Amino acid sequence: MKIILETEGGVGYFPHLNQPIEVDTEILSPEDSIYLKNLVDTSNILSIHTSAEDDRKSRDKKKYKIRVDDSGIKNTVTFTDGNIPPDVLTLIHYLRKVK
Amino acid sequence: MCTSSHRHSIFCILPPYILRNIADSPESSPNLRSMAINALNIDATFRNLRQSRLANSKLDGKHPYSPSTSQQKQRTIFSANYTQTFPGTLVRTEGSPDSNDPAVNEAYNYLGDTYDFFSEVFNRNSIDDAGLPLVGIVHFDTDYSNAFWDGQRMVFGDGDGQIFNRFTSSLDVVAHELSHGVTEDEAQLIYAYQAGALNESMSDVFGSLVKQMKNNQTANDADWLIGAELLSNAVKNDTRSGPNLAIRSMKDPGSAFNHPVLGKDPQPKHMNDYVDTFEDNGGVHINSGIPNHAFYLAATNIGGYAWEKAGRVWYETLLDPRLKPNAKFKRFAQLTILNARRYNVEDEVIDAWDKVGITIPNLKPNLVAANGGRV
Repeated sequence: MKIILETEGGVGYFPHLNQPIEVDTEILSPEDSIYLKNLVDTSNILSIHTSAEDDRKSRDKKKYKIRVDDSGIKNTVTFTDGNIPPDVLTLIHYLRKVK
Repeated sequence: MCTSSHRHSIFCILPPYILRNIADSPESSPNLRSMAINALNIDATFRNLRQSRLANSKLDGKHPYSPSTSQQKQRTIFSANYTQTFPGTLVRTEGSPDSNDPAVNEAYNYLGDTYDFFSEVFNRNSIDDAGLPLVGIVHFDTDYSNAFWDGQRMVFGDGDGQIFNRFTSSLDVVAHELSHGVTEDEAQLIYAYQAGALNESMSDVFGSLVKQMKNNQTANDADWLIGAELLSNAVKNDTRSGPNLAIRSMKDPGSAFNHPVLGKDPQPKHMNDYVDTFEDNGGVHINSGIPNHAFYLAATNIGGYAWEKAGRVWYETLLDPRLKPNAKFKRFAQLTILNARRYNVEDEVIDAWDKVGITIPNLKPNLVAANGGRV
């Protein structure tokens, strides 16, 4: 399973911090791989259909695009700060840590 | 507005969404719920009054007057307790003593400094010029390296502790976020491409001016850096980072950072280097370097305290009904020049825009006449 997290926005623009984080469970340790797959299952991210909320009045929020490819089953979801389901937020935190 | 005979003082300052949460919560006592519903009813009355004044003001072209009899700060700070859940726990209200938590005190004090700046310099009563209570939320998420305006309140993360410090630590960043609310209440500049870069630049301009006034600095004394306090000591002490480390430099856009983890500051300071991109809402935090630098040049051309003339010209341009939400740099520059005439600093402003590659030919007299002779 491959997961790509792209982060955009924020009060400052830092080119290197906006680079996508790509995690492949094939190259993680078995423990990390199982943990990440559980996070993906719990967050339901392969089946939810959502896009970033129409947030026209907010400024400097971060936007998160997560793309998942699990043996050909693909999904892409987008969230903005303050509108992220807790289980998806846990997944985002983990992807940042494990990168 | 608030009569103590029927409302607890805290209900005078809580925004409607929080009052609704209290009214709807099964954990609220009947008394608490009743007070919240009462406050909501009164709040709706004053909102309706303000809406009617706003509608009239749009017809007669004048700014609506405030329903408040005096300009008073109304600050409320919540802690999100390291989650992304709003609003969190109430941790400080207007007039309450210092907290033991520095993030709470910084948010409270810096929102106060920003309120005072707009009040003293522009006679503006809060974000909406009608006394809108200021709500700040600290400890948003964990290791969250950002601050934002969510349309109703200012939200601050604590940074990751490695690259970034807490985002309440920078006065100009707190003022930047609050100023987004002012822009939204006035010109409503669309948050994309050149209009979005102008939106960002207005927040940097006011953010820097709030800091300069707080530090009693002239345009020549100021550092013109945005968010210098946000970068951790580890980054500051890294010899590769370069001097004048910050998230942006209005004096020298493109020079604020150059670090292996952050990358290089991508801001241009001249139209020749304008960045065409889909990223960052069309480069709103990138191309804002151009109008930022124009403001710096105008302020230093004029000299003295930047908020007295240059700041006033930019503020009046933000309030100018000729500034449309989709304005581009050139139109904004034209309007600053027209507004600069009133302060006899037209040449200084023309020169500033010219140096960033925006040359405005002689303004047609009918552009002035179209505004009833007012420039």
